[in-house]
Amino acid sequence: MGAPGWVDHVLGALNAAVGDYLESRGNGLAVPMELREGNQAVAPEAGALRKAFPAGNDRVVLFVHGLGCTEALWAFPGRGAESYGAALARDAGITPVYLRYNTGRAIADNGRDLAHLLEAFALAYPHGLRSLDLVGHSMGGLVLRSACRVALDEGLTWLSRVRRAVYLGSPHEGAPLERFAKVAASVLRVVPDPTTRTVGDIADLRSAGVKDLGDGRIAAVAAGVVPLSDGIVHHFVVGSLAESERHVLSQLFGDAIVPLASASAVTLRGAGTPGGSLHVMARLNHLALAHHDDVYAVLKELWAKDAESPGAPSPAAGEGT
Amino acid sequence: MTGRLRGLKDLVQDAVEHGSRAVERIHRTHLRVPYEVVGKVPGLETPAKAIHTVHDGSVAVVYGTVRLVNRAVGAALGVALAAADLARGEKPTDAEAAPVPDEPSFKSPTPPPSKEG
Repeated sequence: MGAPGWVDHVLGALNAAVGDYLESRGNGLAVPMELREGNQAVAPEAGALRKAFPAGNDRVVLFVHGLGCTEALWAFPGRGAESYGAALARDAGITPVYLRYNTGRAIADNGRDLAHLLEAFALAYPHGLRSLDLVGHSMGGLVLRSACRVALDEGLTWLSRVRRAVYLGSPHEGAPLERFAKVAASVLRVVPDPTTRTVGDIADLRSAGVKDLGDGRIAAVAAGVVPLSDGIVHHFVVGSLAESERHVLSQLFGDAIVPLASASAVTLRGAGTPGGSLHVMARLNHLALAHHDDVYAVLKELWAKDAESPGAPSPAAGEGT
Repeated sequence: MTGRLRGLKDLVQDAVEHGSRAVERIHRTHLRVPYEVVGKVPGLETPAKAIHTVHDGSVAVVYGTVRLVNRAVGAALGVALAAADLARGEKPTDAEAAPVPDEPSFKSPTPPPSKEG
């Protein structure tokens, strides 16, 4: 994985803030949805995929970053291009693929586009696609769930290749920070003062993607709670500010952005996900979940079974709980 | 590359356009109060109203000029970027058209699904 430059980082942050506006205006600063390899976009076509993944194999893991980031998020700090994907390629023999997208768009819009992008990818992938596993950080996990939902609704073929999904600090049940911003903007707009109201208007300029995070909304319509996809083993990795998840700091603030209950999807995990697991990572903040050795140890363990028996990875095979 | 430069130009232009309107609205609203107070003084109703009208007109001209210059500069930059495209042998991108990405990108080939639930 190559390293995106500072322009890419700035565009990632800008798109988080006003990406939906940029897209609606046809603005050239809007980040397009792309599969990435070596800091290059890879078109979902056989020739481009063969060139980008000359040593690829039939076991692919897709990494989807979160709000305001790029695929550079996955790199271990101070270790060059080393990332979960590169490490899993070395230790478990998978082929990592990274997604870059406009995080200011509605999660449902990104989910729909990702679903169709993966369909094109699955059909064109030159090494045969036996398994497609998913790893999402923060908003990325919600985009993955949304894509799975679209794939199920539309009968897309790639969904049958997905065996497991790993969510790193994804706000499945919403993020209080965004809900607070929503309330603050509403209050400011009610105050009968033009300056205060204007500040409220500016605060309300938050992108559709950010607003979706408030409730963990992954569907285009008010569909209520969208369940986790069947046939996929779901794993939740959750950050905790304190040493213990029972500590008041952890209970109140989770990983500083997403509460423990939301990231661990307490109300969603109950149904239809045998073999899934929950991992609470002590003293890890939200961003660190995307590039930390302790989290990688969890991922390595999840994929270790495949490395031991590469001939027969099967979905929902009862992974550690 | 000009796609991004054009995008930056459009974004700054939008920010100045919307920002100037917001500031103008605040400006007008805050100044309405003293004029209303002065206008309640017997004998000053008419002059206060006249001065308020002139002031509002001046405010409109000032902020209107800001927006006019903003649009003019935006248009000039748009022409310069189109010329840069032509000089590089590329087809100029229309300001209202979708940007031409520098790298391959993916857009969903189908409209949003109508399914719910």
